[in-house]
Amino acid sequence: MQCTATQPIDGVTPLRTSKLFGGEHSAAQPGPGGRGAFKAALVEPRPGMVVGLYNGNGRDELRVNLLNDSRYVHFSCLLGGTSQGRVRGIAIAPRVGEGHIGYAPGERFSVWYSPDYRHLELMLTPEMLGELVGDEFERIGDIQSGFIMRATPPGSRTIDAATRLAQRVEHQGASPLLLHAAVLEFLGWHFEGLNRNGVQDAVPLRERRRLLAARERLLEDLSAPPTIAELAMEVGLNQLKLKRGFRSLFGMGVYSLFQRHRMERARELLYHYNVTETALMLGYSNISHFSTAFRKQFGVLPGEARKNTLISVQCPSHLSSGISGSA
Amino acid sequence: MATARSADLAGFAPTLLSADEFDRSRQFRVAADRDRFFAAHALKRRLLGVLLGVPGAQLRFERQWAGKPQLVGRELHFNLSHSGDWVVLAISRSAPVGVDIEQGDSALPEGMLSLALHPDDRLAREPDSLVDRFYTAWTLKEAVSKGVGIGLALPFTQLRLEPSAPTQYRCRHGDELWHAEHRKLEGGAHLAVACLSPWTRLRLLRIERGI
Repeated sequence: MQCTATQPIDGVTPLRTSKLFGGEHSAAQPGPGGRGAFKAALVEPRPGMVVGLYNGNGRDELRVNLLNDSRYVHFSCLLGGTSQGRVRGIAIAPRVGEGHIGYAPGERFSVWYSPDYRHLELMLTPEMLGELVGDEFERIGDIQSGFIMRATPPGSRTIDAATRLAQRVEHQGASPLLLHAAVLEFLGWHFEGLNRNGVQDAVPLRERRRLLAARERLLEDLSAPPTIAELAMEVGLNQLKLKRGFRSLFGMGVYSLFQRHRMERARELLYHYNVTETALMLGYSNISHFSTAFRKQFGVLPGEARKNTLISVQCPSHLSSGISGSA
Repeated sequence: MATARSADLAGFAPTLLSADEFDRSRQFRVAADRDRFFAAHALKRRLLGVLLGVPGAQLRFERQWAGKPQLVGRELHFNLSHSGDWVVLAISRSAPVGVDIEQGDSALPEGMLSLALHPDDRLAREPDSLVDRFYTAWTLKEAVSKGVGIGLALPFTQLRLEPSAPTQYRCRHGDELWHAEHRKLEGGAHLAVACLSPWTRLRLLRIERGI
């Protein structure tokens, strides 16, 4: 069932989203309405479940008025570039990595996409969504009202899941089971984000801005963390607010967050450097402290992880994904 | 625009708040935070109720895409801010509005300077100190950003302040031109309001003892 409002608006008939995005999944590429400003790749793992990956062409920005004729609930994540829009007077401007849930059949949007825009969208019919999430359904909002537009906070897990799903869409021919799994994982992290939304409300916007600055400063140099007192002073929060805010907003304490990023970085560095070099680069003077911390996060010692990554680098790509995936 | 000290609003009946707001107020562990939250939401319901001619407790609110609250089914724009024991509510009949108050008594947060200023920011009157300069720019941009309603997606470094009168500013966001005004209150607090349509008269209401 498509919404077929075709009344001219302000003297201009807006483009239908199904024309532009292939949102009704019949078109593998956008029609003439897309004007070649971006490329769309669409897959339909199951009836009622469509995944779209949209990439700007790197040259042209796209500014267009749209009439949404999709009856899907959209779960999306901006992976790169900028997208801005307005619907019902509400400004929409996701940050990269931020989740977005939208259901707005028949609504008019004005949108703008930058040339380097990259965007992943999971579209589910309300029936399919109900089948997948059961009672959780109402947590996204009141679908009976016919309009849902909301952001879910950015999280590294949402971005990871979105990136994996985007890869599955791009490399078509991937296992249908893995594609389906990636869809469920992406959807799962969206719902997790909704959990954090309630907590996040307890942190006022002004504090969130300061907490984000604190996070940036904290992760600036992964070999030397600032003290909590320094960090608090630099962003103008007291230490208690800083510590509590980190837990509410990022789901972990200041040093846990630092340590997590430090170990993620360690894992990357181990591709190119040995264990001692990696430890030193990350500010460890004691290798066994580094090894213990690494094992605490990944369950393997850095030496073992390095061995695995070296194998996966030398293997053909279709084998390596299996090997590195187990590390 | 109405400003108040939270202690002056403590006399409102708790039943003025919705069950959800009341529950949220109980989540604050520090009494001062709880009182300020209560004061802000009581002020919001009381004043909006008076303007709309309905009991404040009956008003219903919903959240926009990125969390900005709005009234359900009514064409009245508002925005709340609080800092220290200050509470401020801005209301506009014509267009989206944003407001920010900063007590501004803390030391200058050095780490935030580079995040708050645009290289071409111009202030109407050069403030007395760097701290004042920071909080002037900060509150003005926070007011615009809250008005737009996209929260942290709007980096302050991309907002350029352009003075249009002794306390007034213009600030462009995409295709939109926001109008803003900055005031310094007694005790040194910085207050800024921003609205998508220019105003002929800005009424500043100071609430001293209940309403």
